[in-house]
Amino acid sequence: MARPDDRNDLRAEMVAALYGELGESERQALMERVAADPALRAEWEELEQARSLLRRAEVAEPVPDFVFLAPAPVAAPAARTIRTRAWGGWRLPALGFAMAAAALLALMVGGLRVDRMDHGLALRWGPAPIPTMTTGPALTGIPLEPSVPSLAVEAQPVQADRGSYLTRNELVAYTQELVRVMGTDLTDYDRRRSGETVYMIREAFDELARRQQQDYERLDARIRLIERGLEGLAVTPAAGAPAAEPNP
Amino acid sequence: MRDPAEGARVEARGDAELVILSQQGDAEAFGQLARRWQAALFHFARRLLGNGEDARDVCQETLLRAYQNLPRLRDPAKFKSWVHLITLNLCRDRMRSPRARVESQTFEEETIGLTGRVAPPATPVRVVDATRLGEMLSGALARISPEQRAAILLREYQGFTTEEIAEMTGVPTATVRTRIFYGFRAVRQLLLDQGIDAAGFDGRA
Repeated sequence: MARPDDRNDLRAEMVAALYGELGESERQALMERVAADPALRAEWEELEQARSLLRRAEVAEPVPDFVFLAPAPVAAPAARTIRTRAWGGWRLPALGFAMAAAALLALMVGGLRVDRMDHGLALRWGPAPIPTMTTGPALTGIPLEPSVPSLAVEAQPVQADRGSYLTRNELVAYTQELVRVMGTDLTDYDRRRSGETVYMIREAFDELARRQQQDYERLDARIRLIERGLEGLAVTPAAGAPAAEPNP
Repeated sequence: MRDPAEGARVEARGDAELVILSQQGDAEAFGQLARRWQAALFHFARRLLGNGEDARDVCQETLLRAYQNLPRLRDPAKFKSWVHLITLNLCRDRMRSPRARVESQTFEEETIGLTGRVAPPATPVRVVDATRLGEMLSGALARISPEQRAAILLREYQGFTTEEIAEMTGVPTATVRTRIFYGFRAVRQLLLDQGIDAAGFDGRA
């Protein structure tokens, strides 16, 4: 009578033989032992029968088409890499856009706010996060010639508050980090639809980035206009200098 | 937009090449990998977990994690093992959840003993079609230990060698084989209890 350990070794060998993982001589030696031992032979037959059943059983459930979410690369944020497919009877991107629109609305109306901090970026709940131009004292008092009417209209006292802005790449990087954190952490069973949430948030951030870019371009255009006007007036305001008195 | 000819070239590439392209930032290459493996991963998770809803979630999360962690994959040729291991680990997490434990009652090895013959069928032998057999098999697989189940599924359905499974699961090859042996034996016993044996299966249906 073989000891249990030896028996287990033989069983492991039988599985190896079943899957063709034994050399010819090893297989032949094993089969001779199996043929000579009724108990082993019975176990071999059981193995073959079990495998036969497994091979012939069918899994009737169709394979679902998955939503695959690939975060956009930072270097090419314009290239959209979201893969939208049918999932669980829902059709994206229609659902995604609807959810993104809702999320964007939430962002714009007292929703999420992204702030620049000394140590990096901060995500807060707060007012709309898209500053355009803020007034301040730096350019106040610049003499404006009435002979330059267009400049007189455009050159309102303006200070670009760079500290409250994010570049597009920063926003994309932040979004990617958010997606990564959510993908890593949202494993709770009740939140397993996290893919939809990730999609929704990235859509919202994409829109936010687009609007941010538009604001930058508008701001740059106005600053260039002001600079051109200042050059024409031969005025160079020193940074932090007190406001000059207007010419009498 | 990607040129259709370029798409066809990506389609024809091997896993390792697609992994390298993905690591270089080609999202379409990863999309191709995902499309290539999602069905196999779904069936694996479906058989491991016993229900399609959880399998869908696990498969979805597997693809997301694979994408996020792809830069860490040092050997692109091992993508298949790597992505299956992600699925396996996610399934293990699911099986450890309180809900899964309530739903699953493992059919332990001791139920039939280490050396004894299997018991005769409790009900007369029946003839069933492949789909019904698949349902009954899913039920039987759900009752064996997760380790046995994973070893059987990886070897029988996912096309891994015993050595690959041993490497993935961190156990000796002999352990993988004994898990398969006892898992097979338990599954066969459970099917016999429902009146199903290899002879009673009607593969024509």
